[in-house]
Amino acid sequence: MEPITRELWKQARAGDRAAYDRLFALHADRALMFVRARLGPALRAKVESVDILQDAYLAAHKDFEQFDLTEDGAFLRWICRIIENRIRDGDAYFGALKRQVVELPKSLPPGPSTLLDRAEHRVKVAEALDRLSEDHRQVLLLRYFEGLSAEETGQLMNRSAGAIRSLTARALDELGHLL
Amino acid sequence: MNIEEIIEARLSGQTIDYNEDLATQHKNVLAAHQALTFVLGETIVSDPDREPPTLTSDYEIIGELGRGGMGVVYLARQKSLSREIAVKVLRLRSESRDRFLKRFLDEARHMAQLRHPNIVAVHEVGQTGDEPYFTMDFVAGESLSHRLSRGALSPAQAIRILKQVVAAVQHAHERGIIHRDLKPGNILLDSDSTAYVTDFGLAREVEGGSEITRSGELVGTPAYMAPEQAMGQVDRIGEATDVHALGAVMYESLTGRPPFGNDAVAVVFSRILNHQPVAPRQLNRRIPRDLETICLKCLEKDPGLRYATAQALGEDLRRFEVGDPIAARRPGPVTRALRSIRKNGKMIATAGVTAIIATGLTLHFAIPTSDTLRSWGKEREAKGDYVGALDVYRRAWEKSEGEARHAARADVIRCIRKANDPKSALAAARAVIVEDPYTSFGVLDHLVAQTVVAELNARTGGSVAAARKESDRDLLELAETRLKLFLNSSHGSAVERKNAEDSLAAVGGVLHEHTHGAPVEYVEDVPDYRLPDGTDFELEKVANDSKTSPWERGKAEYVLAVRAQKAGNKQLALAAASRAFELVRSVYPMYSGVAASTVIAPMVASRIGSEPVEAILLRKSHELLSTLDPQRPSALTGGIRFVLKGIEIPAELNLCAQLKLRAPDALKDPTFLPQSTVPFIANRAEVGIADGTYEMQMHASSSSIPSGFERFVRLMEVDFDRLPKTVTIADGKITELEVPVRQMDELTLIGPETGSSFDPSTDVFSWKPVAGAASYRLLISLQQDYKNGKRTTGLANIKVHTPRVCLGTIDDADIIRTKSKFTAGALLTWSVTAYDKSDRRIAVSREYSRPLVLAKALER
Repeated sequence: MEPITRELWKQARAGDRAAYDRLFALHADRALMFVRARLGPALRAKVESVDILQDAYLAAHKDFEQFDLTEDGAFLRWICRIIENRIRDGDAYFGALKRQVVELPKSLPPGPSTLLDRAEHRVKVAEALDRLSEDHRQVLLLRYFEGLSAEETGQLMNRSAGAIRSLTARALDELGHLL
Repeated sequence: MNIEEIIEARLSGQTIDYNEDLATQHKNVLAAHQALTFVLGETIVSDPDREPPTLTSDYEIIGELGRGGMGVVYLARQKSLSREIAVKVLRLRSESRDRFLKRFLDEARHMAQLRHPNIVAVHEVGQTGDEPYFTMDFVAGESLSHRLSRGALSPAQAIRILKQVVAAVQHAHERGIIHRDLKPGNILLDSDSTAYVTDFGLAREVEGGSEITRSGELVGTPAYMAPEQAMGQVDRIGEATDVHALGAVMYESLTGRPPFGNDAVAVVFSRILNHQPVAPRQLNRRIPRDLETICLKCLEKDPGLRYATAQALGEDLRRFEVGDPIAARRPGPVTRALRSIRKNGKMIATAGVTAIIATGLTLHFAIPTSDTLRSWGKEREAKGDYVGALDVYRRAWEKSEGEARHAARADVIRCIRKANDPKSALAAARAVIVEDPYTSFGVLDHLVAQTVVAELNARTGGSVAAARKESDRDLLELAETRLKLFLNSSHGSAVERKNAEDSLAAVGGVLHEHTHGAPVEYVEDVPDYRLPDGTDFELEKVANDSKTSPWERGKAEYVLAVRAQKAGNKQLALAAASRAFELVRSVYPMYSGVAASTVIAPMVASRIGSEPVEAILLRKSHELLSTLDPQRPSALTGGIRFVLKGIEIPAELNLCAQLKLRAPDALKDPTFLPQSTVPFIANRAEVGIADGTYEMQMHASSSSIPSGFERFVRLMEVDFDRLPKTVTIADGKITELEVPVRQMDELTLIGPETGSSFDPSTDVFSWKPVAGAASYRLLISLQQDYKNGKRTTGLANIKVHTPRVCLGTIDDADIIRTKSKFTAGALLTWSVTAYDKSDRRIAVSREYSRPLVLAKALER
């Protein structure tokens, strides 16, 4: 359910700069949450999550024309995959100073109370993700944030799809305990 | 069927039925799934900037009443009948609109079918532009949730409202419509306390209605959901689902809080699925026992155990009111035992059933003593359920006296510190400080202090300064105590501490009859009271924990160093002080007021009073280190002097820049970005920086421009990108860096003239060529007037090599994309910038934006 994302994406594609900014702003919090969780506490001490996000947004900016919003949630998953690639390449750390400074969009001011609830809730989930074991965190990031199937996740994590399915359930169980 | 299959199905967007045992067994898995989907999902927000729609001439929009999931509700006047009505407009555009159109029209249709004195009536369904709308009665009054924010209702008031709501829901049920999102916010009260049910946005017909929302999606409002809704068991949703919601509304009306709390969704869900609500009479003794029984019957987990229909509920309420025996029975011992069996699952062996039933009996007849409650609390606490433990400990505390009361309060305080749910923790803390204002709750102290200040604000209408020394003394003193307690701790960010200091000053001003805002003892910049306390052992643990932020570790090391120095252990003190200095430096290497004699403009000397605490600690730890070992650190006198070079900067201009420095070592704290605003005086700025090598970024910061200097600033270009990327400060010396600044040329726009009318297909934008320019950028924006002011949308940013552009013929992707925005009558603005071969800006048009009006639409 994400009519606003689709709305903004269409307008942004049509060249509406304000819509473009709002589209990215709308996803900044969730993308940042992915960055945080993906880096984990150890890497976070070395590199700033916000820098990674900035860097990924710049990369996303270059490829925006190619991106097609095929289904709900695709935008966030696309951003998450860009972040994943940037982190994997190491570009994000070392390129941080080469790039120009872009103002990172501020996340949108909370409107209806549900948005505020969501923000509070996000902090809790982010903290819980931090405390998961590495495998558990990885499987949830791949499946929920990047939207990969059990098979695709299996290839990345070098396990069978069946093993991924039970790993997902165990990871959720651990997360549920921590929430 | 197992939990993995359920999760896989949910992940691929399908729904799958499963039984409750499985749900209970895997409640953590399901809660985590819901939590992740919820966090990644998106709330539908309508565009806040859009103007109200134009309706037929009979209606005149007066203002906005509110926003819901799918649309905006406006207040309008219907001229022909000279009455006020509410208009709900679906405010989503294009394709996404289609997905909600059905739901929206369903809502209108549902409400139009319902004619009942307690249901908001729909008058007309129509369309404005491509936005569908419907008009309905305007209820002048407030929602029940708004009413409840002022406190619970008396049982008589609650029944009066509830009977009307039940009648309305019964009316809908008789027409086959389930509301599915009943809550205090959807019940409106007018000045006569007549209740109206509204917002049938999620309503579904019992027979033949299609489920248009995707399965597994959250539909409804978590706190008021029935278990079958929370579990997404679409097939089980029926009249009893609304009965559960009516029970929740009754519960909140009587007790002032929803039955399963108002916390994070996952927590609420887990309670909806697994916990019985606290009996209303335990929260408010004035609630009649039979009314409690009716309420709890509505809130049964199993739809089969609730009232089957709204009518049956209404009938029982009537019986209660006239004093007849009600039909609802309190759960008997057997039901309780069964419930407990289900809850504890495998723990019960068949041989133990009799024993369980016996236990059920005792539980049923004995009101738990404070000892029993405490033992329950211990059990929950041992399981890590601190919120649950807090709940029973609070009840034990309220019940007990003397010594026992003291012990129970200690239980409560312990659980407040452990509970990861700030809302219940704060509520409990608020109760504790009535008895003992000096109790510390660790990290929560800031919030506790804020709560008290907020109460004070609420009492005085928003300003502490308006409080009265005598009548508000209780809250004023409590606020003062709590604020001091917070400021005396080591918790809180710089901003939080600053706010607390301000509040304290205001409170102190009233209480001690100082002038408002006069400094009180805690505003001094002595950082010691902000430092952590605790035993050496505890501090060492913090200092050595690499997962703790360098800032917290630095503070701990500093305290250890001071203690070691006092104890005469110089070696230990030196080691700790040197670690403290390094840690603090890695967080924030800057300090204000460079002391070197070469300083020409003492730029921030006047600001030392409001120096950030990090800078103060940097200085303090440096002082300590220098005392212990005069040889070691170079004096804290070094830094960078930035000199703007290239053109003369008028003295009236106070330029600012943002400076970002990072020590390129492993001690970085990702949550802390050492950044500071550097004010230039004339063409110089100096920043005190501790010795070290840093990565550096600098960029322009907004500065206020005195009138008469707009043109100068417009044409001034500072080439921050030509500053070195790395800078080293050594031996306490000042490094001087030149910041190249130059004056750009002024580009003269030729045509179209200001405000002239323009045919975009044939007319030409032109300007005088600039010497040395390799390219130009023409920036075109669209100006629109909105209710909340003007809005500018960039339409095109076109790079050209000649000083003339015709939009009708130019081949530019921007124009092609935004062609449709160039409509007749549109107000546009334009400006031009010139660039040299290396893409540096060399000239800008003096006007930020020259307006023009389009005579025709763009055709190409």
